[in-house]
Amino acid sequence: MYTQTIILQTKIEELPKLYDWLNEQLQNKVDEKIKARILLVAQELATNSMIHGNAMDAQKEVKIEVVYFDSEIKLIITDQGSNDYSLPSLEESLQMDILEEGGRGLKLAMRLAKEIKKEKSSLHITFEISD
Amino acid sequence: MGIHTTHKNDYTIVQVAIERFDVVNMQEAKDAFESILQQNSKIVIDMSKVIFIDSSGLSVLIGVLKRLKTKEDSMLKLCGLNTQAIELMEITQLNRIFDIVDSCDGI
Repeated sequence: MYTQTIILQTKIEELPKLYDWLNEQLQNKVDEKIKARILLVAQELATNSMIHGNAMDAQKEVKIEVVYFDSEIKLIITDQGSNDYSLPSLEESLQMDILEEGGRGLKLAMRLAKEIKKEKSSLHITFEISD
Repeated sequence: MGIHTTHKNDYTIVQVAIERFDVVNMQEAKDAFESILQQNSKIVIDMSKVIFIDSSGLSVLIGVLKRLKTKEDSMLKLCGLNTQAIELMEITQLNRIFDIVDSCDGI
C-alpha cells in the first residue's frame, strides 16, 4: 500500500491540475475504463468539496489522496467545510431525474464507485481495479 | 471558446472542440450554445474532440435539449461520443433521451 497526495486551492480553475496529476498517476496502473471512472468521480467530488464543503472560500484547500492496494484504489477527498450533509443512498442515486440539469455529481459517484463512506470532513471512495 | 459551427443541408453542426467538457468551461459553453440556439433549431453536436465530460458538461447538453424542445421543428443529434461519454450517458439513462449516433460522418 502506498499513498500519493495533491492539494488544491478552492478555485474551479484548479481542477485541471487534479485531472492531469491523477491521469498521470493512474497511467499503466488501471485499465482505461476504470481510469475514466476514477477521474470523473475525483473531479465531481473535488468540485462538490469546493462548492459545498469550502463554500468557494479561496483560503481553504481540498486534499486528494490516492491510496493503492493490490486489488483496489481508494480516493480520500478532504475539505475544510462543515460537512453537514449526508450521502445519498444507492436507491436515491438510482432515482436521478433524467433531465435535471444539476445535482448529479455525488449521485454519479455513488453509481461508479464500489463504495463511498463519509468520515468527518473526508469522503473515502473505493474502486476495484479490475472491472 | 472551442465551440464552432458549420452548416450542412438544414443542420447546424456544432463542434465541441474542447478536450475536457466540464465544470471549468461550463459557463462559456452555455453562453456559446445560447447564442447558437437563438438562430438555429436543427443541431448536430459533434463530440469527437471531447475526451472527458463530467456532470456539468452533461448539464449543458441537457439545457440544449430542453431549449430545443420549446422550438417548433427542432432536432438534436449527438455524434462522436467516446467510451467515457457513452458510459455516462448509459448510467444517467440520457441515452434514452438523446438521439446518439456513432459517427459524425454522413450527417
